Amino acid sequence: MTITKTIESDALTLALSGRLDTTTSPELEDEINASLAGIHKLTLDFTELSYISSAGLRVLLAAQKKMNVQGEMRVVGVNDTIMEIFEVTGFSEILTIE
Amino acid sequence: MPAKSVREMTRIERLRHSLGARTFQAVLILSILIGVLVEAFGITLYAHTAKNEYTQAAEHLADTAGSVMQYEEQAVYEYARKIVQRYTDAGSDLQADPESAAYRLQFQEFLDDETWLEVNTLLKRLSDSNEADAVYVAALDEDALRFVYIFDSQGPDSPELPGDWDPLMKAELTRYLEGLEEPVSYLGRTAEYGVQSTGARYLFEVNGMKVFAFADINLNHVMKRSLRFLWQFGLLLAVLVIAGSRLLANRLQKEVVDPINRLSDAAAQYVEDKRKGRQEADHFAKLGIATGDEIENLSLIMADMESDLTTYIEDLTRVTGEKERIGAELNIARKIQEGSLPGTFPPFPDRTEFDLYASMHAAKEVGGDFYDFFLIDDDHLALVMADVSGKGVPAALFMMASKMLISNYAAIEKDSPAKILTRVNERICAGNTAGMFVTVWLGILEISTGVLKAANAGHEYPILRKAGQPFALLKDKHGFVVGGMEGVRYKEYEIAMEKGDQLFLYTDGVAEANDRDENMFGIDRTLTALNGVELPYCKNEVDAVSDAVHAFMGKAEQFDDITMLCLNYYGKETPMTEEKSLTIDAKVDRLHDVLDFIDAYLEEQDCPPKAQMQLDLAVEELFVNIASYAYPDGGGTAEIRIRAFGEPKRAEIVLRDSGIPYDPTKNEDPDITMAAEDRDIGGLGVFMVKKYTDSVQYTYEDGHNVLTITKTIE
Repeated sequence: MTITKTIESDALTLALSGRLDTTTSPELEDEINASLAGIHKLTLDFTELSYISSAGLRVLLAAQKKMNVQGEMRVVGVNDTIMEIFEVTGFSEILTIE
Repeated sequence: MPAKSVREMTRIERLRHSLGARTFQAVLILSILIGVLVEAFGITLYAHTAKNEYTQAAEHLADTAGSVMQYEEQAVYEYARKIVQRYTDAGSDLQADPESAAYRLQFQEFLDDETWLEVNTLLKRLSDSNEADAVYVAALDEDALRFVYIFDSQGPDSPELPGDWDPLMKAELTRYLEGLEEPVSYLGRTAEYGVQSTGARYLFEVNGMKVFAFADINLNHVMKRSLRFLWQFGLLLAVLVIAGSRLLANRLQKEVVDPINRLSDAAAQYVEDKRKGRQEADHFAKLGIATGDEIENLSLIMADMESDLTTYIEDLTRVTGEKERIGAELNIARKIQEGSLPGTFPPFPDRTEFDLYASMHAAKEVGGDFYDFFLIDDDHLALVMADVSGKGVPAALFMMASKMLISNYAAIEKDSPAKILTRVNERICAGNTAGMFVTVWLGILEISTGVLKAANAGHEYPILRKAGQPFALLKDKHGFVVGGMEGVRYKEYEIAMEKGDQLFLYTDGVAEANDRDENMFGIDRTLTALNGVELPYCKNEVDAVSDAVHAFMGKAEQFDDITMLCLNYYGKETPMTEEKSLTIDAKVDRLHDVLDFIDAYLEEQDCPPKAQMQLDLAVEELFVNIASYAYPDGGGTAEIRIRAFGEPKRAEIVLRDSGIPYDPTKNEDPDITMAAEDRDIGGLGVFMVKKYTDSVQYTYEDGHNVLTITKTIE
């Protein structure tokens, strides 16, 4: 998995590609923890992401809880397969998906 | 009434409002009232008597004085005539001031008269001996309203001199003039003498003026005595009242208040003992109240009530215990019944020619429905769907017997469901004293050929789906219910099962499930639910009907068991792909090796990408679980096996480890509707595994956790 990071003033965009699974999700967690200070808008771009497991969901939940406090978080470019995972697990109710 | 309830009062307030205190107050107030009335009456009576007495005394004295005068009548008359003459002669001007020297001079000569001195002495003696204030003789000047003194008893004050006068009231005069025959008296109050009673006795008339003998008795000392009497009597009454009310209150306290207090204390003690679970049962009986009145009656009633209550509580405790015991036993019965139905799916993992799935939801703790399936031999599979008449424990017992009999006779008759049912019916009828019966659909599938022989003993029509067509009701021939009548011969029929065919069996609890408005679910809705299933796989059909029935019922109570069984027939020729296996260190960083292994196999099988991703997801969750928790003390390995088979093609993946025993299928599903702040990520992985596979099965065998997942991959 690779993470591409873009910052515009208080808006952070993280574009993910590849698989967000048990072995790769710690990278995303570290990246978010390191970059979130002073950020009010977090965008996660899933256009190139093909796979997400419960470990990835855990990181998304933690990020959402943080952004609920300091601003807003959006997930964009979600493909059908991952959207179905969000729906099955109820994450579609928690996340802002565009 | 006090504004607070007794429970809210302080101890002092309670004392003040106590029956004893209130009784004492009431008696005291009543006694004081009576005392005041008695005193007022006494005073009035005393005053009245005294007045009468002294009035009469005055009259008598005046009469006596008058009688005395008669002895010397001539001298008295003569003397009076002179005085009256001189008074008349003096004229009104001189009369006006009787104290003046000029007026007094007119009478100076009469002061030495013997008659005057004699009579005065006589009168004085009379007055003294009768405790009168004054006895005197006076003429009445009716025009000027005056007593004109003639003789006087020379009372303790200065004696009235002849010719002196005192004013006379009109009423007084009128009264005296009434007494020309008999002595009269007048009760008057004057500033000079206070209250006094004057008796008058008419003597004679001189020069137009009437002369009377008068006697004054002063009542002031009488009034003083009355006042003293009032005080003494009042004091005595007060003492009597206080002592009396104290006595009465004491008596009331002893005979009424104390017994009531003891009853009340006993009641409080009773409540406390019951709260603390003490067994004492004679709180009221042991009081021994023997007042012989309503209070004793009350205490007897309370004692009876306590005894009844104790018996009632004992009964209730016993009945409740009984109920709990029955509840616990029903629970065990339910477990036994559930255990008696085959509940592991897939039931025959090695048989690729068919697959089946079944479920039962009992309406009460134990139900009368049952399904069953078992291999009679390598080539014969028996399928049973049955419904016992009635519900609850009797139905469950009957069901267990029926199930045993069917499987026993199936072992003997092997391939004829009609013969099996015929023999089962004979056995059940022989011992069926309760008159119960059971409807049975029994089928025996010859696995190699797909020939399904079936017999229907009064059961619902089975539902059949030929490959590529929708599910449809199979209107088979019905025989009579099993256990209904002796000597019934059942008929059987054959269905040719072909590759991809499905058979769905159920009990009337499905079609007759009610919603709140008593509408029935019905066969049409059952067929619609079955035909709405996208992936024809036996568990999906059963789940679809179950979901549809529960959605239809809503909050209505389930009143009948809901039991279903679904068979997929794949046929003998279905190829089984070669099984592959990987043994690997149970470490998270080996995850990609595991997924590469799975992906390689699935790609070889032309697995659709979505199904492949979902299987990856399931394997990742399960493998990471093993890697994280199975070996807390250090390293171990996990074995992953994969194979594909069946029509439609399914993949079966087995994960095996020798770590601590752990069954992830027992996890509670997480609540996926909660807000982000409340959510916990725990259990989500296993939840996704269950969602994305057709079946998840856990067993613990030979010291190994064995997890088997299957999923359709075409």
